[in-house]
Amino acid sequence: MRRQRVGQPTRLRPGDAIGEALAAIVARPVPALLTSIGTVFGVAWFVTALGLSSTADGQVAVTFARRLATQVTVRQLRPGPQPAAYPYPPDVERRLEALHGVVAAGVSWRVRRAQLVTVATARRPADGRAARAPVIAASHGFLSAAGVRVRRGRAFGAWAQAHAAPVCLIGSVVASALGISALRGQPTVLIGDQRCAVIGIVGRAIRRPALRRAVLLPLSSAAAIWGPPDPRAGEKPTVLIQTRPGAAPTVGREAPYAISPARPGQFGVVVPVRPQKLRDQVAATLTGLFRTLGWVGLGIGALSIGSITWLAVRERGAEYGLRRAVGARRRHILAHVISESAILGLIGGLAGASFGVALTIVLAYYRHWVPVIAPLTVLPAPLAGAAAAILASLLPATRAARIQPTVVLHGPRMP
Amino acid sequence: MTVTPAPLAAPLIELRGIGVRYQGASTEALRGIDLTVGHGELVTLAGPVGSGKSTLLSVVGLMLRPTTGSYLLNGIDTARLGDRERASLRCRQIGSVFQRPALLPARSVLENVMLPVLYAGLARQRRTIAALEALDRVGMARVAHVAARELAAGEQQLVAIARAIVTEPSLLVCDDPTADLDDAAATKIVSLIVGLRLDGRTLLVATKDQLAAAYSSRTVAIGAGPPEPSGPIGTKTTVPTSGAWP
Repeated sequence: MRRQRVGQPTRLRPGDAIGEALAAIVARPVPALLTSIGTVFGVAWFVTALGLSSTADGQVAVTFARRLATQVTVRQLRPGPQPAAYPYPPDVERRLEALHGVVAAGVSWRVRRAQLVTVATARRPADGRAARAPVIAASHGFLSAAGVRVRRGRAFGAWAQAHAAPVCLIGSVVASALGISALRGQPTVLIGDQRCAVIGIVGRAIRRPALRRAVLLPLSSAAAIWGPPDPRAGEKPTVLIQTRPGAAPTVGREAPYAISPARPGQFGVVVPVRPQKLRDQVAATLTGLFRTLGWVGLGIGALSIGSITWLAVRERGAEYGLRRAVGARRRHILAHVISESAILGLIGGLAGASFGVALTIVLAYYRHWVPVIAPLTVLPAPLAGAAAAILASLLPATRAARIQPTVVLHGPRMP
Repeated sequence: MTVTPAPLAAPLIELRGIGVRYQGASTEALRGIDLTVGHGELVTLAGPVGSGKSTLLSVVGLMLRPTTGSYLLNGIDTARLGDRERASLRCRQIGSVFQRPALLPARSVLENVMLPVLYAGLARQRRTIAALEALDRVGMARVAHVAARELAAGEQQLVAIARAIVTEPSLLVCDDPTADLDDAAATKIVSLIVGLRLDGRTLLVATKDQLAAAYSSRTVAIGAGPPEPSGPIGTKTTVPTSGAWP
């Protein structure tokens, strides 16, 4: 059967479709708000999840860089011209700190001949509790390189080092075991039969957490009390170098030359393997998790829009019937429903992206993280909201387009 | 292909054996309707509730395809028209006024009247001018920017008539436009309808209003008696129907 053409077909300009959608939204703000709430939450969740993903990725990188890739240890492997007991030049710290990328460097060894630490006071030297703790001879530079934070008192400095002062720092765990909580009574500890004044309590040691369970003395003090380190007893002085992030491999190559330009081969250097693969795996897992959550949120938002639009189409059946009765074609009704949903999705997307960014910043603030929000995540979010709304409205729009003009006669009244 | 309109001497509406059975219904809403309406006629449809007047108007208004029979509109066989052509005719050639005004309540009167011209492809300024002219024709231009829901029932029906004539259609189908109105409002609507006929339009009006019937060319009774051919202007014609309503 040949179709007849009757004049020009009816048409709906894109601008008019958008104008009608805006007018419908303004005319019925409450249903419009309810429809866009789904997008607001969906996009907010989406942006928050992606923002947390980027933030967590950055945090993983920072954590790995801080904990593993910023320290280098050097120890003697083969005999050299220096005595085996202390194979480093006296100015080893200054030499190392002159290297580019070095933050701090220092020497330490474990005094294996002294372990039992007994607390004592000036009045009642025998009154005390005992604790078994490692004794570490440490230079001032070592304290810096190990990231030692003194909770009470102060760290020993150049004076104590120069005068072999009988002073020590005790770790917080040791302090608890010995019942030392304050330094006002000038507590002393007995290491074996050697008396040392406690001048500080170590609260944290970022790169050597075990120091919270140790007692630390200046190198000169330990040497004066127990003599120079005995390699046969396992007392091997070790250099700890703190580097800037990413500088550890270079510093590790240069350090033996800085310590002994003539015999660099006698030193062994340990640079922690940069666990790039592990870091990438952790970051990828976190990113994948957050992104999945983000897409799930967006999907839930889209479903919300779809279901509300479905109900709205049912409620507004008489309106669509009327439009059909006065000349609208099926595609025009389709355009009306979709453009209205798209605008609501766009508005909801804008609001949701703003909420998402704010939520990411607040959550990162409370976790003490640096919020990282990629512009490519936030800027297209409103468009993602609109796209989700368009997809979700396809089914309701198709249903609306099928409404017959006669609905205006028999259907429900205009909402 | 553009159809050449039939000469004016030819009838505007020619219904032959029109029958309608709604989907799922056991009986026909309309059966074997023959009706011819000439240009410029005002024909009223009379009949009891459920006799099929609204269904017949839906068929004439191209909102409903008949199950059987043929419908020629201005010589065009509407059975051959696709949805696009039928929408075009509904927009430009046929104005529909319903029993309920069927206005978008939250939109302004002007926006309601502009609805058909929105799809006619006119620029916004021309749409506004056309709508204001139509409102002026029914005496409602003063409330152009008032929300439709704020109008009284009679005023809403006047706005609905303005919407129906905004595209200057040659045919106006009105489904009991005075049904829910008081006498004063109904008289106003009837006088307006009569005036529209004087403008040269063809009107097919289902109404129980005696005044409207009095001004009509003829009254066609639906749902009573055996089928009879359409009579000349001024006579009463009876066409049969099964009387079923979905």
